Amino acid sequence: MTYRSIEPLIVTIEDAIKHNSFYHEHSREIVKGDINKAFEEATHVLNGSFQMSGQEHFYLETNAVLVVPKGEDEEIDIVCSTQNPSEVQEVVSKVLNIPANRGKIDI
Amino acid sequence: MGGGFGGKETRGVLLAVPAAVAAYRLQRPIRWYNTSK
Repeated sequence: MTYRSIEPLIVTIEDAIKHNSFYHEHSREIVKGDINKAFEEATHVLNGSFQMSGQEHFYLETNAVLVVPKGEDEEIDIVCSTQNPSEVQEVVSKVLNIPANRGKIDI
Repeated sequence: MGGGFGGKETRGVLLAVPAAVAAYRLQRPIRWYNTSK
């Protein structure tokens, strides 16, 4: 493996702000109501900041599939390591050009 | 313990479809599993 040092090092929001590193084309807004009016009329206004870490799971599990064509009416049985058997059924039916109900998907 | 992180949401299709094509064409059962390597 080769490692390269990348500069500038930007791993936090604060780093990004400091280095003016923004994704302008991906900005999103959530806007509802009149925020300034709400602040003026609020009984209490609190200030502060809050941080929490994120964690991405590294999917270690092995993947496997067993496909058994039934030989009748284009039926096909598929046992697959998936949490989305509906998608397996849909995609297989499109690729094989058979009606979706010919595919019996098990996990 | 744990789980539900979405690891099997879409990867299953990547295995199922080629195996299904082969099984359908050849009309033979096909088994394919990946080891952790």
